Amino acid sequence: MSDPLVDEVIGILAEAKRRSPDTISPDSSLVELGFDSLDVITTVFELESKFKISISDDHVRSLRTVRDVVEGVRRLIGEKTAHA
Amino acid sequence: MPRRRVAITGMGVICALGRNRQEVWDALRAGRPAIGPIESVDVSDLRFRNGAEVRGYDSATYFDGNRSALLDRFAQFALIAAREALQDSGVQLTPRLRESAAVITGSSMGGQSSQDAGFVDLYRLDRHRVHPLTIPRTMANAGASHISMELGIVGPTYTVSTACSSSNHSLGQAFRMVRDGDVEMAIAGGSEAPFSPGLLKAWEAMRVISTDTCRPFCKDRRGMILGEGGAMFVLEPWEAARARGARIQGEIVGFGMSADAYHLTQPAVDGPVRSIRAALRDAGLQPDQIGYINAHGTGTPGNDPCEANAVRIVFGKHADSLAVSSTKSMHGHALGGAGALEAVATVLALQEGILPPTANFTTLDPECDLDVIQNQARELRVEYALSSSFAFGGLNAVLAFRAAAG
Repeated sequence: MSDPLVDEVIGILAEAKRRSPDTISPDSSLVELGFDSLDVITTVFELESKFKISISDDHVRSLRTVRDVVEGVRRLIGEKTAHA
Repeated sequence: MPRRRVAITGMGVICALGRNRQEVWDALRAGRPAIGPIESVDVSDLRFRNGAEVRGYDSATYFDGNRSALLDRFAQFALIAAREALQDSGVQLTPRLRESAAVITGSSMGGQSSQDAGFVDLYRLDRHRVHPLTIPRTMANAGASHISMELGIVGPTYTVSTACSSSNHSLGQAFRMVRDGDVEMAIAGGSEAPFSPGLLKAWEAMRVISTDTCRPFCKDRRGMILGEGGAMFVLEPWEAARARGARIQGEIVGFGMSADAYHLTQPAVDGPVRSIRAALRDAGLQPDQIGYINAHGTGTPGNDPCEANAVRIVFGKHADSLAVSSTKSMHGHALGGAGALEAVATVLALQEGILPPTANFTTLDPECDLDVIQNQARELRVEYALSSSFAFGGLNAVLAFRAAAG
């Protein structure tokens, strides 16, 4: 079953590393996808703008896989909606 | 011309720890950090709240109104430190000395507050114009130019901007110019004043600033804390300083530089190793002659293990009996002024036989397996010390100091 948020996050990650979304799965590790520290903070910046959320520094440091990113974004969107 | 020994005959400093060298030293030896809530900028929209500011700073204490209008805060710090250094040195500036003296300053960001204020006028207040002094206040060489103008020094005068290594590069350049006989005196160091809203936002986006405090080499370190201030040195040829009866406070004996050619922000091990070795080689020292390192020690997850690894590689077994501390834990990371502040800490440590600690220390990170001086200063006479700066952009600069013969 397709999850639109997974597709959207993978799309942003794919764009950041100029690679096909088909080569990225939720289990992919960010390091294996070639994300270094600058790629991570730049991509998180894009995610924050896109979803109008704020991701803490500690949270960013804990991101290891694409799934970590997706679930983090999902949680923050949920918190934002709950507070709205 | 044979190489000359280079004496430190004057030092001046202003930073979060104090307004002069005595105040700064009192805080350093007590292991008393000056990190607290940022007051000069509204931080309600920032993810971090703390910094190491010169609290309650009033430019009117040092400059009249007309003068301070020309000076961004970073250039004021440069001048205040230069005045103290010159007075401390007892040098009498003759017309001849003014021609053969250099002024070399370091600054990473220049007059950010002035630039920021201009952009607020332009973009937020829609004023369609900015203050005419924005450019001369913002330029990174403003500190060097104002020192030169105030003291009438007309020899080589310039500014080095290599991010967090700026003032180690400036001190190293000045050291070599005095050593090689290019000049008969140099005023050198650096300054920075990074507390402006736009710049703090940019640092926030880098995600390297700690939300609490700065704990270099600790397991629970969470990043760096920005600091501000300036420090300047008067350097003279050893023999000339002795001949005029100057109080020689220490000696710069070596300077090493390298580049990582690796990554804009991620630290490497190889570059720092080569810069430390270059400084030792330049000084004609063996690794086991070094007794203390004032580390770059930013407290970021990335820097500290890399730096510890570099120290291990260069010093091998001797690393176990080599005291290391990061005084950034007390005065914050003053970017282009950092190396100069840390040079003051290093020279005073050699002079007093008291090595300042790494404050805010909790538990040593096993990845930073060095003899880190924790929370309390260590009484220890050391003859030679290093002070390291490893900048964003992979630019490394290491200075070697020797205690003044007592």
